[in-house]
Amino acid sequence: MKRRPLILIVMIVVLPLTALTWAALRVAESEQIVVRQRFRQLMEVRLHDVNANVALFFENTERSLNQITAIDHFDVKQLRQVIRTQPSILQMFVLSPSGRITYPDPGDIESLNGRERLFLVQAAKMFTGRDLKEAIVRSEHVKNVSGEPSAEEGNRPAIRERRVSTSSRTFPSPVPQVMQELQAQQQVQAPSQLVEDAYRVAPVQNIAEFTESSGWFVWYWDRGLNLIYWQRRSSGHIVGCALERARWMADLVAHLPVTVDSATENVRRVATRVRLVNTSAESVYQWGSFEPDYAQPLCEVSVVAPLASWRLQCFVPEDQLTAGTGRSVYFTLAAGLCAVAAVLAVISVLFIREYARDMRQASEQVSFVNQVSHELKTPLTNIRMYAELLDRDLDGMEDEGTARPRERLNIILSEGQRLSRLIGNVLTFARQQRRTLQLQLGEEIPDRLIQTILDRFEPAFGEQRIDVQLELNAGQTMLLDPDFVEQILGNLVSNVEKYAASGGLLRIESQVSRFESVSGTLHEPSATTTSSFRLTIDVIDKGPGVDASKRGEIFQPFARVSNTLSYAAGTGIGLSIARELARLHGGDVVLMETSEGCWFRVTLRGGPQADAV
Amino acid sequence: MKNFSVMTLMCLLGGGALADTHQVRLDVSPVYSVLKSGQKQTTWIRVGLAGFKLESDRRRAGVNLAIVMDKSGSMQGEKIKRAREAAIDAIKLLSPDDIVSIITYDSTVNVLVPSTKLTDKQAVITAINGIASGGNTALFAGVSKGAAEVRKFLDRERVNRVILLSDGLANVGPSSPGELGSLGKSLIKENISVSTLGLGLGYNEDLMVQLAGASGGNHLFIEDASELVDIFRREFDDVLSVVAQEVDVRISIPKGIRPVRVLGNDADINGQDIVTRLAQIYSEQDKYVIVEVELAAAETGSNLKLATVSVTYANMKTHESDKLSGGVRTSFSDNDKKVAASLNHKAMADVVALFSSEQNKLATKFLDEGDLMKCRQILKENVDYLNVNAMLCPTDSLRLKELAKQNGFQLEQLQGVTSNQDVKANLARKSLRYYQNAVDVQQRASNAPTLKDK
Repeated sequence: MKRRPLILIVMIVVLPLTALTWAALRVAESEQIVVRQRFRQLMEVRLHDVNANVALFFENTERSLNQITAIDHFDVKQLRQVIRTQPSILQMFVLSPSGRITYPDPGDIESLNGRERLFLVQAAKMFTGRDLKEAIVRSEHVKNVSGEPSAEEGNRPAIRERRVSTSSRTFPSPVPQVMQELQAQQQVQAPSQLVEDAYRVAPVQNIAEFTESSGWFVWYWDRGLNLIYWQRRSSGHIVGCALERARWMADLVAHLPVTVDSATENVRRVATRVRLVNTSAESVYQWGSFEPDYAQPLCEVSVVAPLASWRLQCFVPEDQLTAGTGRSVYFTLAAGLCAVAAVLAVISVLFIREYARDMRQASEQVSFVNQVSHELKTPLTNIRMYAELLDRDLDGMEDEGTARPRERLNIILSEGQRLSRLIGNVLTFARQQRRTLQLQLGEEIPDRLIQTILDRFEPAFGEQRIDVQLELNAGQTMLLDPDFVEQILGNLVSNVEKYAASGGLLRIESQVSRFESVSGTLHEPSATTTSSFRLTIDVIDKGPGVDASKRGEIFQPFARVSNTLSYAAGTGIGLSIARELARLHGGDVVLMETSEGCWFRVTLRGGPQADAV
Repeated sequence: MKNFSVMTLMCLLGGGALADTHQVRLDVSPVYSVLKSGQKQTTWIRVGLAGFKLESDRRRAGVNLAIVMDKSGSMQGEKIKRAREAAIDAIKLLSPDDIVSIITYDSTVNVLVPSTKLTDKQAVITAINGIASGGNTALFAGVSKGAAEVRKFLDRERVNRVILLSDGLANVGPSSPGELGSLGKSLIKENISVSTLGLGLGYNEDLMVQLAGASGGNHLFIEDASELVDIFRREFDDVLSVVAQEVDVRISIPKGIRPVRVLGNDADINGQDIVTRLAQIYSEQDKYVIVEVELAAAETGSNLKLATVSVTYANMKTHESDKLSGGVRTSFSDNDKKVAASLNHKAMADVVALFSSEQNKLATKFLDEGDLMKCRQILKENVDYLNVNAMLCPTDSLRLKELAKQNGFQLEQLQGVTSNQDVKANLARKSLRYYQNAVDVQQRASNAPTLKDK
C-alpha cells in the first residue's frame, strides 16, 4: 500500500530531472563546442600573427639576400669571398641567360673546392633532373673511412690520384701504418666525370620557372627542405644562393618568441604551446609553457611561402576549453537541477499528504460503512425472520388469493437474503482487515448446506431462467463452518446470477475425498490413523467467462478507497472474501481452465470424521 | 748540394719592438726542409701562428657571452645545482663592461637574462639561482637563441661566445650532428664561437663536438658534475685570454704542387688556393694549419717554393686588423741523411698529432661498428705510433707522450668490454671524440681531471 506512492514520487521527481539534465547537458555541450570554436578562432588569429612574423623574417632575409646576390661581374674569387663571409649562405650559383650553370662550373671540376662540388652533386637533380647522388654515394662511402660525418667531406678533393707511397723508408714519414694501408685501399673512382656529363647533357631544366625577377626556390636534399633565393640580373643572368639550412632555421627560431617563465608570466594568460613543424611533422621549434600530452593540435595553419609545407600548430590545455563559460554552465545547471528537484520534492510531499488524508478519509468511510452494516444487520434479520414467518403463514392458508402476496414475499425474501449477504461480506471484509475472522466448526452435511443455499436463490434463478444442475456427492457429515461455506458459495452463485445469467446454466458438483494426516503415524504408530476430509465444490456456468488478462486480478480486493459504498457491496470484494474464507478453512478458491464460461473450484478441508459414521 | 737554406719569412709587418710583442707570429715550415730528389712524394707544410702573451694586469678584451643552459629533466638534482654554481662562478669572473645573456631550455627556450652589460651582477645571479629543471631538450633552439643574444652586441673587439652546457640528447628540433655542425660553420663566419660542455654520459658527443669544432669553440667532457665549476672556469680562462680572432689564413700553393688536403681544420681548397679560418688564438698559444701537398719528382739541388701564406686577424690587444705574410721553400737532395737531418720537430709533432686523431677516428668507427677487437688494435697502434714519434721529436715529446697516454687510457677503458652498448664504451667514446676535437681544433682548455686522475 505504501510502496506505490513512493515509486510514484520517485518517478515524479526523477523523470523530469533526468529529462532536464539531459537537455541541459546538451545545451552545455553545444556551449562547449561554441567555446572551443571561439578559442580556435582566437588561436588561429594568434597563429596568423606568428605567420606574419615569419613573413617579416623572410622579407628581411629576402632584402639582405637581394643585396648579396646583386652581382654582375662573376669573378669566382669574389663569389667565393661572398660565400666565405656571409653566414647565411651555403653556396651561390650563376646561370647564364641560356640556362647553363657558369658558377660553380661543372666543366672545370678540378678548380672547384669541396663545397662547390658537393653543391653540384646535390643540386644536379634540381638543375638537370639527374640524380647524381646515388651514383656518387657508392664511391663516396668507400672514401668516408675516418668515421667523420659528412661535413668533413667537403674538405677533401673528390678526385684523388693513386697515392705514391714513399718507397724508401730511410727517413721517417708521419703517415701511420694503418693510414697508409687504408689509403692504398681507397682508390676512389672520380665522380667528376659524372658531374661533368650530367651538366653537359642537360641544360638547367627549371629555367622556365625563373620567369620573374626574383624568388624563392624550395628543394629537398640532405635530410630536409633547403631554400634557394635567386634574382635575375639585367644581363639575363640568374644569380642564386642556397641558404645554410641550419642557419636560417636558427635565425627563424631566434626570430620567434620564447617561453616566458611562468613565474613572471601574467597569471591571467592562458598557457599554450605553439609548435613549428616541418614537412615530416617533426617539431622544429616550440614555445609556450603548456606541455601537450596529445598529438592533435587545436588548430594549425600553413606557414607562409617559401615554407608553405611547414605548419604552425597551436595546443591549448583541454581544461581551458571547458573553463570560463563552460564551468559556469555546469554550475548553473547543477543549481537549476537542485532547485527543480526541491520544487518537485515539495510538490510530491504535498501530494503524499493529500493522498494520506484521502486514505484516512476512506478508511473512516469504511469503518462507517462497517458500523452501518452492523446496525443494519439486526433490523434485517428481523425483517427476514418475519418475512419467513409470513411465508409460513401463507403456506397455512390454502387460498387462491395468496399467490400474489407470496410472489411479493419471495422478492422480499430474496432481496433480504441478498442484503444480508452484502452486509455479511462487508462485515467479513472488515473482520478480515482486522484479522479477527475465526473458524467455528460444526458437524454438517455439505450437500445439505449446498441445497439450502441454492434454495434461497431459487426464485432468482427461476426469474432469470437459469437451469440448475446438481451432482452432489458429499453426503457424509464432516466438520465445517457453515457460515463460511454459505458465504463462499453464496458469493460464487450470486456472481453467476449477476454476470452469467446469459449462459442459462449453473452446475454444481460436490465431492469429498479423504486423506491421511502423516504426522500422527510418526509419533503414535499404534494409534488409529487420524484422517481428514477434503470437500470439493465446483461452480460452473456458461456465461461470458473471465478475460485471460483479468484472470489474475479477479481475486484481488478493491484497492482504492474512493469507490462508493454501493461498489463495495458488489463483487469487488466477493471473490476475494470467498478465497480468504476458503483459505482460512484450509482450502482455496481457484478459477479453473475451461473453454467456456467460468469454473470456480472451492476446496475446503473438513475436520476429522465423527466417530459415529 | 751547396746551399740548402730554408727561407722562412717571419712577420714582415709591424714596426717596432712594442708592436712585435703584441703581434701574432707567423711561422711557415715544411716537415722536411730538404726532400728526397727524383721521386714523387707527399709532404706537409705547417703554418704556425703563435699568440703573444697577454699580461694579466693589463685590460683584456671585452667579452660578449651567452650561457646556454640545459635544464631538462635529466639535469635534475646535483647537475643543475652544480651548473648554477658554475654559471654564477663565471659571472663573478666577468667585469661590468662585459656583456652576458643567460638562456635556459628544456622543451622550449627561455631567455632568462637578455643580452646586457654586466653592471648588475646580483640580478643575473638571482636569475641563475631560480633555474629549475624539467622537460625535454630543445638544444638547437637554445643555441639559436643564444647566438641571437650574442649577435645583438656583436663586436669585433669582443670575444663573442656561446657556452652550451648540456647533459642530454637533443630531442626537440633539429638534432643531427651535421645540422649543428652547419650552424657552427655559419656562426664562425660571424666570429661567434660555441663552446660545448658535455655533462655526464647521456649527451651526444658527435653533436657537441661538431658544433664546437665547426665554430672554433672548445668541447669539454665533464664526467662528474662536481668537476663542473672547475671546467667551466677553464673554459672561461680561455675566453678571457683571446689575443686574436677572425684569423683568416690564405695559403697559395704554386702550380705543379698539388694541395691534397688540410689536416684537422675545415678549409676550402680552391684550385691552388687554400682558405681557412681559425676562430681565435689564445694567449701564448701555438696554432697551426697543416697542409698536405703532393710534389712531382725534382732534380737534386733544385730549389722549390712550396707555399706563400697571408694571414689577417683582429688583434684583441691593439684593436687593429693585422696582416701577416710569409712563405716557404724546399730543396731536394739525394742524400737520405741530409733529408733526415732536415726534419722540423715541431712540424712533425703537429702532423703526427693530427694523424693520431685520424687513427683515433678510425678506432671510433670500429667501436661504432661493434668491432672492439679492431678498435683496441688501432688504439694500441696509435699509442705505439705516438711514442715512437715522441722519440723522434725530442722538443715536442712531452705533448706526444701526453697524447699517447690519453690513447692508452682509452684503450684501457675498452679492455674487456664486449659491446659498444657498455657504459665503459660510452665513456671511452666520449673521450675519443673529445681527443679528436682537441687535437683537430688545437683546443687549449682540457679535461685535465679525466686525464690525470686515471
